[in-house]
Amino acid sequence: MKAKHDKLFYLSLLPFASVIFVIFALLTFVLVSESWPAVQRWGLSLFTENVWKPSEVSVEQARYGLLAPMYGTLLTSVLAAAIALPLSISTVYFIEELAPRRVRDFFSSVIDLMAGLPTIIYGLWGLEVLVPFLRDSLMYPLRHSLPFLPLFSCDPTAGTSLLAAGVLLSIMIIPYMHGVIKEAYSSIPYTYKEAALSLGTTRYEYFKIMLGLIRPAVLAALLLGLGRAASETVAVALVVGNAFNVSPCLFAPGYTISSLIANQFSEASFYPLMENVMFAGSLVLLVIGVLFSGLGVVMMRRVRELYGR
Amino acid sequence: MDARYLKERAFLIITVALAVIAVFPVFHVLFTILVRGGQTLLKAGPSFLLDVPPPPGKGLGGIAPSLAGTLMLAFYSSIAGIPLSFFAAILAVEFPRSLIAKGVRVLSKALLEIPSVVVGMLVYAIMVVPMGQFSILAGAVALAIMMIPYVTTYVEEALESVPFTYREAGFSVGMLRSQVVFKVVVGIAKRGILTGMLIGIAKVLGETAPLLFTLGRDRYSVPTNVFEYGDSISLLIFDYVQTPYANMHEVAWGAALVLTLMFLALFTLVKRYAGEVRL
Repeated sequence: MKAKHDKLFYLSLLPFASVIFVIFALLTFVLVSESWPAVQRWGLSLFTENVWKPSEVSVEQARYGLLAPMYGTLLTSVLAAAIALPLSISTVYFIEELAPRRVRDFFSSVIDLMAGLPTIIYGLWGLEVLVPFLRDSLMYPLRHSLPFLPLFSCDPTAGTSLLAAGVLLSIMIIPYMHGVIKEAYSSIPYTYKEAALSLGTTRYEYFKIMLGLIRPAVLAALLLGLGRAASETVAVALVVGNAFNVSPCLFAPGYTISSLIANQFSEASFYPLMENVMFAGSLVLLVIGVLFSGLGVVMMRRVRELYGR
Repeated sequence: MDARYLKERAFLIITVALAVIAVFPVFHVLFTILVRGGQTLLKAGPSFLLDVPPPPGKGLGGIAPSLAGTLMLAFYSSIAGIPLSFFAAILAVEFPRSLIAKGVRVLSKALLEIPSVVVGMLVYAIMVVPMGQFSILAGAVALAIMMIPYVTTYVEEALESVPFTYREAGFSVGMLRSQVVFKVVVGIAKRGILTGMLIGIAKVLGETAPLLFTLGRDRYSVPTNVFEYGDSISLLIFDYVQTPYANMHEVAWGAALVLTLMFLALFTLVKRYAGEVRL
């Protein structure tokens, strides 16, 4: 009787759980079937060329290539993760080793707040405050002092640029990277810490040893941060400048896959196959995300095994 | 002084400076929102919450339809997303060896990695296109999907944190499994479960990307049912800050203050319920 009841209980929960499977099935089906016509029409060049020639009249005249947004996604996420990594390592060390209890609690709350704050708020602040600031006190000075570097080889006209997107994203992914590194750092056994200290290390030497112990976690944080940054949409759409550019110059406006979708998907139904091109873009986005976070999760599992957690 | 100690000094200064730089922006964000949003709210008065948005270039009006939309979306997405995640989490914890349970665990976390804009495109394809129009319902479905990973994960953790002896006690007095779950385990894990639900709501309250192609952006009339076009505060900010009109930027900042206050209220509630939060 008990076993029968258990079975019934299981079956009554099943519909709820299956919805999650249905969502994934639908997602896979929709993305693949909607992308297919575009991939079929333009083949690999959809991902290797930088063209955006919509046509309302016929598919024959239209040409699309997603290289610029793919480049923008990669560049801005790498930039963001590169900026955020040293900052997140510092916040972890500060919280774990330096701050007194009270400061530490406050600091942790602030980082939780950073993680939860709606992205549109970051976007608004990014466009109205961060972009003008970066343009006047970072981009123009760099442009004038080091004009020969290809990175700084163009004028930051409006300020909305790949650099601005990278900086804003770095602020947004700090809490995630912080979380990953902190989990690993606090799992280092006390005996290891004591052993290091008993050798008479300075704080700097101690820090280097500790960081060495959680190296996979740092890598995991980097990968998960990259994944996060690649998938962020509205904040980036506001500050990246929205132009099809594949230029090495960081001050040039650009596109990311998600900001392209945010900006143009609403009008895409007027142009034959344009929606399908965007679905192909989202498929690329998903693959990038799965790749980064998949690797990140694998790394994280290694960290957890390291000290038996 | 010896070089080792100079290095240590430099290291400490740099680390503290970087840690401060890392959190400084969020203070600046909050401060700016408070000042610029506060100006708008003071200028517009209470009608900011009751009026419709202004025409380009003139006056401030209000954000009533968008505010109503945000509240409706939070409500309907919770109605769909919370029970679903709750029961799915119970299945995952109570029948851990079944294939479905393993799938729920993996997939509910994988949902976290799907870009929110892609969720919007999915709902556009499966709801907006077949129904022939945008709607609050479509927006709420998109948000419910966004909510699932958070709520499921937190409820799972809360249920698992209940010591096994409590379950044994329940079984020993002849309770059935469902009774043990709902009368014993859920009661003990109440706090964690509630936290998870609040986090889910806080998470979707300010979402923008899933709503871009599902909601329809009707910001001049308060929606009366879920099949109508709707708007959200986040969408209003996104659109207005991209217009060239000064008064619309002011509205955007005012709206941002309203949204931030709503989020902070939920955030403090969560913080009071549970010490450590991962959003």
